[in-house]
Amino acid sequence: MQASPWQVYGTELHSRLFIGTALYSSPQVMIDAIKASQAQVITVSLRRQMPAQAASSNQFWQLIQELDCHLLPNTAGCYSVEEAVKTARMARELFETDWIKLEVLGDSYNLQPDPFALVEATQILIAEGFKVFPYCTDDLVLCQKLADLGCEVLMPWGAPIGTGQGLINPYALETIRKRLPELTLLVDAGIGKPSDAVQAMELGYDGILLNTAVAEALEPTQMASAFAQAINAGRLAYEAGVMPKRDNAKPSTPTLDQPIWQQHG
Amino acid sequence: MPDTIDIVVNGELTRVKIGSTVATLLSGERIMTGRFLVVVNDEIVSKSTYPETRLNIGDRVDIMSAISGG
Repeated sequence: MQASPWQVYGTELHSRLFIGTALYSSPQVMIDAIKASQAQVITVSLRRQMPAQAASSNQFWQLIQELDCHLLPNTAGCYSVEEAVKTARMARELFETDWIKLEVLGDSYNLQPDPFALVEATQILIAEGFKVFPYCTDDLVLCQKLADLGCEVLMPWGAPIGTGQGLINPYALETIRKRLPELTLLVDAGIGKPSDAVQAMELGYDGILLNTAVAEALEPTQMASAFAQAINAGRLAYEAGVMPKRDNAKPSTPTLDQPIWQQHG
Repeated sequence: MPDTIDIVVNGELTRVKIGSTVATLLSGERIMTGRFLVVVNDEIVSKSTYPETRLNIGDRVDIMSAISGG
């Protein structure tokens, strides 16, 4: 059974997994893993191309064309509003999309987004017609501000990029979900294993963006398939309605008409 | 009088002939194929204007292409 399709800035998607294209041991491993993930959106980036790198760059371009996925370029490695905006503009031209995964980092130790610069860059890019996917922290007020600016999608972190620590602050993520019910929310970064993704999906998150957890698995293709199934399962569970937790035990087998000697106070 | 000027291409000092354009730069030793983007002094240059975009002393030219990303 497949979870219901969803919309991202007006584009209907069936897979709720966005997957990165970095860190794979070879181009073929990347292709196999992305296909196994069933992802319809892949993240990409851009850099200066040296003549010696032209062949590998062309190969990468051809590979991502063959995948026939929606491209979500990022502004990875940008530490200022100016850099991020400039990179976004170049990405729009190069990849011919107005989607941008907006990263404006504030700290090189944990790669934490700079919330103030992120808001400023978002404001500029939305005014220029971009569909912004901000990579943000799990701060509710920041998320509200980004939503007020016109973001239809927010991507708070589960944990710092590449740490695989899962959801460090599920309470904060759940609060964002509850307070911003109309927004499309993805957990981006920090997902280490499929159960982390299930946890986020059961909280009501619409999707997951990950890269390292698949690319650095011993068997990336198998792990990609595991994530695809986990994310679908988590969404199905959310749509089915998870039972509330109780303090007291409640028997699942009916107790009516039990022999008196089996009944306990 | 020298017939060359110095510009910076992808961060490297590069000597080109006076009167060079983006098109001549790309057709020289920097043979570019596939999908790429040219940026001169932080301004994106559209492909149709490569032949008429002249390069001046000190221009910063960046040739950008797609790479993997997370």
